[in-house]
Amino acid sequence: MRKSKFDILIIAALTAASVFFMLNVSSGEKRLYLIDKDTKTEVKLEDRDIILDNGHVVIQVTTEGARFLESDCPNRICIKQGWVKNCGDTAVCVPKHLAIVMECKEQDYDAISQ
Amino acid sequence: MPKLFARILCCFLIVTLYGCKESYKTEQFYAMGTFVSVTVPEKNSDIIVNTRSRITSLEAAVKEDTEKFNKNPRYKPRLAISELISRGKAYELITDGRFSIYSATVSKLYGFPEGAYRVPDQSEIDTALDNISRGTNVSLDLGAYAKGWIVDEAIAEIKASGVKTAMVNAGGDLYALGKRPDRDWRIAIQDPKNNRDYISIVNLENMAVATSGDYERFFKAQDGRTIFHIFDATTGQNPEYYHSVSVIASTAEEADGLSTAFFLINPAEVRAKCKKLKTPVLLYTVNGSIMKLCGWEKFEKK
Repeated sequence: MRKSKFDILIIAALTAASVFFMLNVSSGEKRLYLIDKDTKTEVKLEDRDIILDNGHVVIQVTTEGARFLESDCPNRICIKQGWVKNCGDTAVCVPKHLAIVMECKEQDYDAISQ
Repeated sequence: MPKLFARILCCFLIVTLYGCKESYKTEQFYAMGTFVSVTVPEKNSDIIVNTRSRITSLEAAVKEDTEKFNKNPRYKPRLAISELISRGKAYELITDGRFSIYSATVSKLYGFPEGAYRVPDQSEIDTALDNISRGTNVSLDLGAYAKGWIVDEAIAEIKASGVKTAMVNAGGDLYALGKRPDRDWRIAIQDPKNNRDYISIVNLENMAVATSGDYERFFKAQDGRTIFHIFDATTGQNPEYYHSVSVIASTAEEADGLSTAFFLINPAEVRAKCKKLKTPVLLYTVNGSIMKLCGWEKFEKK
């Protein structure tokens, strides 16, 4: 099969493009989500506090991640869970039906058993 | 013509490379006292709404029949629930009665599940233990394995609708259906001492895993003791062997029930029982050592 320069260029460009797409998909772009009962909303990673439940719950958000800063739930497990920064990290406040989770396109595992 | 052929080839290359990444859709919602997540292939994402309503209706059935039974011990639960109740017998036998579907008779004295928490007097505990052994004045609670059963039922419904790959995860009690196109489902077992880390990753295909721990639901007593939600129905106290117990089984109900049952017996007993039941087990003992029993390591990530 005789190939013109143009063909080779196209093959190279398209191969590069497909490899780029694949890498792009698996590069693990981080997205922070807040789950409030059954509503899941993406939270932009920027410095601010999210105040919920009439001020009884405060979630601190930074450019890196987020954490439960204050909560009046009995065990304060959500606060002890600390920063949600890496892929798959979660902090859950079961009594208030609240959770923050860091999701990435590709991570080392699909679920956590706890 | 060869030019055209080369271009078509390129297009195929792009489509196939891109198509390798089958995408999945996960939806999370609150049910059964925890966050439940359902993952299905993106193209089947419309079934999640049915899965969710199946889960909430089963949860309501368990709750209603449990409450009615607790008000009136002569109440006859619907068939599916009375079958669920009778399957609890197996866990009682495995543990010589340390596991009981009536252990809530004791745990509620401490304030579980919702609080307010307190340490009951020994006389209160003795009365409760006596009631459990005689089956009178007891509180039924199927929490140790009903969640697993509901996960199995949700998976059965997903399967019936023709979906071959899915995962239903109810706060760590999960079933992994089928195989993803590129690999098995990978499940991380959380480190009880550091919730940013995990102690094992297992590959599952048509299998379930569940974990019971002392680190999720607990309170600190005035004397400094940490009291968690699992109680020995023969002593009325917390078992003292593990921080976490994970079990792989062919159903989520069995994984769920056994993870609680094994929590109540010592490692030598667990070894004997899991060998008989052919269920891989991961123990994280109170002195910090990890024990992999009955073929657990065969499921670990290569």
